[in-house]
Amino acid sequence: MAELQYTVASDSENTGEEKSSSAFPESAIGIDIGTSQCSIAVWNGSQIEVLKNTRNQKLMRSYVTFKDETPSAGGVTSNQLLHEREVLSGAAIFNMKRLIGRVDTDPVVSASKSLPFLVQTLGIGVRPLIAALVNNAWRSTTPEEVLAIFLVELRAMAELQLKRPIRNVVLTVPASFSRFQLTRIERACAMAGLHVLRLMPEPTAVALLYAQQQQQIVHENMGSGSEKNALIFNLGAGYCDVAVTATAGGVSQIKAITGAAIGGEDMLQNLMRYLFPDLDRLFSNHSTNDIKSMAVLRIATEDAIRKLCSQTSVQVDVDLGNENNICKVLDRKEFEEVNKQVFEKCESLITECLHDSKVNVEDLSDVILVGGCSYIPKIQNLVKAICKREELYSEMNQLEAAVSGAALEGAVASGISDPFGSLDLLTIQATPLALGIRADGNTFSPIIPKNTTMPARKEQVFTTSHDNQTEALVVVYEGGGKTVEENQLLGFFKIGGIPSAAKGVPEIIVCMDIDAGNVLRVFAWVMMPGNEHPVTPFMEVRMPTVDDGHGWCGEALLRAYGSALDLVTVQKRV
Amino acid sequence: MFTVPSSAAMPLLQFPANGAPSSLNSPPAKSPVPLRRGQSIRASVAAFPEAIPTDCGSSNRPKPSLYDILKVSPTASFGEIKAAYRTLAKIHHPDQARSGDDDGGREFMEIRDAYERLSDPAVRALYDLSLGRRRMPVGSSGGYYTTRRWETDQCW
Repeated sequence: MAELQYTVASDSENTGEEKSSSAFPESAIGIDIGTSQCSIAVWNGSQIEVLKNTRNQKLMRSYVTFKDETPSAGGVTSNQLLHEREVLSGAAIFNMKRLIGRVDTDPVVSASKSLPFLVQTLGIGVRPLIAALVNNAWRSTTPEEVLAIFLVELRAMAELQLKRPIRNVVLTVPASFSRFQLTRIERACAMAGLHVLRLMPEPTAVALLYAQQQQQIVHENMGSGSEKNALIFNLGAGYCDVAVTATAGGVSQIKAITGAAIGGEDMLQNLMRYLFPDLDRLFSNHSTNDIKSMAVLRIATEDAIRKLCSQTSVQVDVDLGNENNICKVLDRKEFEEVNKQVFEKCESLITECLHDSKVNVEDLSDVILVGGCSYIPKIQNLVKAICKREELYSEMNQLEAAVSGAALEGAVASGISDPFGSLDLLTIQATPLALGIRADGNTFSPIIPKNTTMPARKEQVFTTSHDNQTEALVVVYEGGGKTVEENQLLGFFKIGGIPSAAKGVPEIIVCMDIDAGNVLRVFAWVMMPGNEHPVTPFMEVRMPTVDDGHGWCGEALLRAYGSALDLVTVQKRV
Repeated sequence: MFTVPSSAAMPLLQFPANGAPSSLNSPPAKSPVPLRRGQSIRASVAAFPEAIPTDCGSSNRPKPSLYDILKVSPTASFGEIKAAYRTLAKIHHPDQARSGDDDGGREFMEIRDAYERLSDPAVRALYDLSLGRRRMPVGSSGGYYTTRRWETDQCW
């Protein structure tokens, strides 16, 4: 059976020592799979240890190269010292995190079409075709498969170093990931033989690390552990996340969290287009020569962005072949102007998050800036300006904060305790996106609002939209948009057996439950006036139910049923 | 060589496709194990109404007050309420693998709800009024939660 190749750890190896005094072996590992870089960390019994690969790197490029028959995760293994140009040769797939769980109408997918490997979109709301160039042929794969291959090698690396089988993991994910995308990440982990203990939004992992640091300060100074509010801003290659946390006594309560698919990759592409406006035309064919030129341009642009972090201008000299030469002095102001929209989006996310948290900037004890793009001066300045302060929190490694938090959560969730109280921690999570159903036409009617503390259970009463309507469709969406089209469809089901009555009489109660494992269940039942008990059996549906083609299911439902099975909201009962 | 079966039957994560038998005899909605990601859940549909906190239920047992839930006195300050919430969260939050609670977070949600309502001055004032009208449960909160209990919690 093929799956045996992935399941190295056998259950029996662990069960015997479940209650052993040695806490170390059972700690789940923390993995931060970044859009561009990845890291892995573990609680080693007394502190967090970020693991290094055989090349002594803590941060590994997230990509998988397809060569002949054997794909390999280049960033993890050392046997092939791949040059950056080879990564960009078309044979390697990277940026998986920007592609996973997205359909071909998604602008983030369209933005990936200028990458060296093939991202083919037909614009009909299905998953895009992704392919790597192997022996002059485009060989198809999927983001989940690429991620799984990468995780298999990460796992092997960690198992070698820790000398124990690894099964349980805590992964960090972007705050803006929908539940559908989270299932794709879980699928990739399952393919790699890993059991997901928790999927933590990146800023909440940072919040946990912050809580531990504050707790230690309290222990050392014997001081009073008063509540501290902190704003966490995380900007990586693919995603931007913001959270506001209130911390005291090792408990981190997430007050608000938000995010968007925007990051260093967008800045890179904007600057590439600025340097070479003909980019999309040149690259539309994906010929071997085009890919080579694109790689040269990408490397030069990336290098320029890096240099502009410490210097105010940089000389860019690139020969793209075919008499396409770029020779230009690029200054920091130009870079900032080209990426104005990216910076504005970052600002609006911070403002929104602060507003949602109901915390005034004056009441923030610390402002924490992490992620691969946190070195960009403009980012540092805009965060300082909004939060009205001179200095940012300096007690964290900007690139290791998220993975360290994940390792802490891995230890806490594995039930490991520390004699010095270093693991006496708790993060109380909040929902980054609202959950609701379609009602009143095409309106998204939230049942569990954004920033609700988890676990959570909320219900809302709906009614029929037509006289003698005996069935109703419950269509579940997740997101922040006012209409359903702007949100992510998670699934749908029909509730039948509604007694014939005038519209507005039957009460259809929809209840949403997020349990301790962040599993969403939607319950629905029908009540009639004068009846104490539901008139139909309960429906209990675990979400998401959509698996593929989720982009057009909503439209298909509308085409098939029109408004015949629609629901209407009823004022909430007190 | 190394192939990833795209339909990998997920040997570790077993999602109950049609699990959850909804027989009338199955145990109440409390899951037999702590609800962890990927574990199969056996929540009986028939028992579901018990799990939904309904205010209209005419139980004879006096409902614990929000102060009882947070184990603070009705005169507690906001700071004391917040400290009590944190202390209880550390014990009852389902993420605390040590807690041994297997109610899927119901208890924490109750604590959270009490905290949310009592930390809003307007909501708390209304609630206090309704408490006074109802009658204070005799002896239930009186000597049981001594002031010392939450004084120590204030330290952090």
